[in-house]
Amino acid sequence: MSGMYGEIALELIKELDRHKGKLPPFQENELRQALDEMQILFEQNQRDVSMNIPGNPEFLAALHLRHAALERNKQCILAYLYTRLKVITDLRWDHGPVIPAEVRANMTEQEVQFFANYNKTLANYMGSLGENHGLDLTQDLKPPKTLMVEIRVLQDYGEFELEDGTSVLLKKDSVHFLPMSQCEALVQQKIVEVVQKQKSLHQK
Amino acid sequence: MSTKELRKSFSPSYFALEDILASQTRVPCKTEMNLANCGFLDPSQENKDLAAGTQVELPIWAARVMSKQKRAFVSLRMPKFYSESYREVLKAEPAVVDLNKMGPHYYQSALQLCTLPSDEADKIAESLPDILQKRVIAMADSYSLHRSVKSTDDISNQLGNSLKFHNMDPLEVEIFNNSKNASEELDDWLRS
Amino acid sequence: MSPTPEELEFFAGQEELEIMPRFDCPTMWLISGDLGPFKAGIPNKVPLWIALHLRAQNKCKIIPPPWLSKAYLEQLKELEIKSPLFTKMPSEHYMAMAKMIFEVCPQDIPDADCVKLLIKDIWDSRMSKLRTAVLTFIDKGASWAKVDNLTQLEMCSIRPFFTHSLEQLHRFRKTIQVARLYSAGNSSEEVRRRLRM
Repeated sequence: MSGMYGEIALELIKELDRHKGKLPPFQENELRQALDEMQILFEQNQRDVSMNIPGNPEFLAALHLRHAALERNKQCILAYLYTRLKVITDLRWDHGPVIPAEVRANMTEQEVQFFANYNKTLANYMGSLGENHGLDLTQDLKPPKTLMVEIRVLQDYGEFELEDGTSVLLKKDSVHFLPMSQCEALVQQKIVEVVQKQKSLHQK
Repeated sequence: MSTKELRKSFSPSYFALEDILASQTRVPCKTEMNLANCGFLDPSQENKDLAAGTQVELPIWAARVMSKQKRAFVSLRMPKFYSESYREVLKAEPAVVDLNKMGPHYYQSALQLCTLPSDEADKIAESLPDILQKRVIAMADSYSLHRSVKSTDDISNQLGNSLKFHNMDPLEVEIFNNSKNASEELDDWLRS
Repeated sequence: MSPTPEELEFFAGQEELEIMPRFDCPTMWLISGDLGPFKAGIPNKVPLWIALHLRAQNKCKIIPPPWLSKAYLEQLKELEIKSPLFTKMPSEHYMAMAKMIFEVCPQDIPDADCVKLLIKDIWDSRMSKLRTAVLTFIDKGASWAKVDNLTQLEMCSIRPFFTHSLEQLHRFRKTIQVARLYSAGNSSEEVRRRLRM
């Protein structure tokens, strides 16, 4: 083994740190290599212990160091997986129940499964609120001021069907007057923006 | 709102990337005895073992286990950027120093170094609050300024003695960004 | 978690305000309390958000709260500028209420432009006072400060800068004690034992 232990596992952490709050491609290879290193460290320590090197401190150092390296690798790997899951749960609140394709491409099968489970748990919980009438917690993240709101379309979206069955065509730069509750998801996904109409107390 | 918007102040944890990165800072160590099978720690030689009295650099997490034993395998010195001469510079002009270059996780590494057996640990620990204190004050001028200024460094240039964005430690960047976002939020509300 | 400006505006909407209705309507029983009865030309108190909703549809005229007037605010501004501490505001939600009323019906407020400017002056004066106070606080390493009469919205302006800076400083200071024990040559076990004491 060349260089210091734990270098590959650290790469995982550095990669996440470079993409703060985003989800870079899952580093299958590096993860595998870090696990291999752990396997080797474990076997070396097993061997040294079974050789029963009598309390000789000269041999103890390597034993301690390898053990610390095992713990270090484990911490890096768990932190890597955990941080990714945190980003994935945030996705649910930022993008709704469907993961954008480009993010989906960077996820493992297990992560997709985790997202589906998280989705289900959240849906169950939201459905159980308000005496089983359900309450969508991802709506009205800011206190609503009005029922209807003027929005401007930021990117072409196409037909958008409203709860009453009518539909509007959301074309870039077009302006619409819609029920706040129904276009909030679009606002969060940055497909439309709310038009500020009121003049202000602090305009400079 | 997503969990990240709760805007918690940083606190170290097992899963915190910053903590893991900070514990990678290298510490100059000297072997106190012959260390079997540790030759690889010194890239300049190819022996299987590491002879007593050899100088090697270990990341904090490794230096910790090697120095904190009943009979320590290695003794250590504090890394260059935490030495007395650098502490003096930081003390004299805390807001001017490029902590990002000295770290990048200057504070968090320091807090970890402070728990290693070294007679300098207390002096390093004592220096930290003063540095951060002076630097957040120097930062306060810039985060609330108008967004019309394009980059944060433009602001620093305008204000002269303010803390430059690219000189900030990640901990400071976090305080800065959170403060800036909150300040913009209030501003947006006042103008809406 | 600390409330956002939008949330505080929502709270301000619960404050009572007097309106002059232009319609008749019997009492409405709502979850948050009874409303009305309304009789055209007879003033009545309603929550601000309802008042503004009715006003937007031209169903009433707003009777501004006594403090939203030129004479009152001029006095208040004077006090605020003279006092080293924060003056008591006529309402916890003075800023949000003024902003909401101005959004919908500035024409209902006498000397509207002047009143608007006075509110802004008072706000600005308090903001700069607060800023100085916060920086002095951090600089002195103080452990307490007197911030009577500060409104929640005003606190938004120093959060999270103030709180996060202090949290980190506190975390750093806590380490000093640990470091001293290590520097004195104590082992990890000894340090842990001593910290428990």
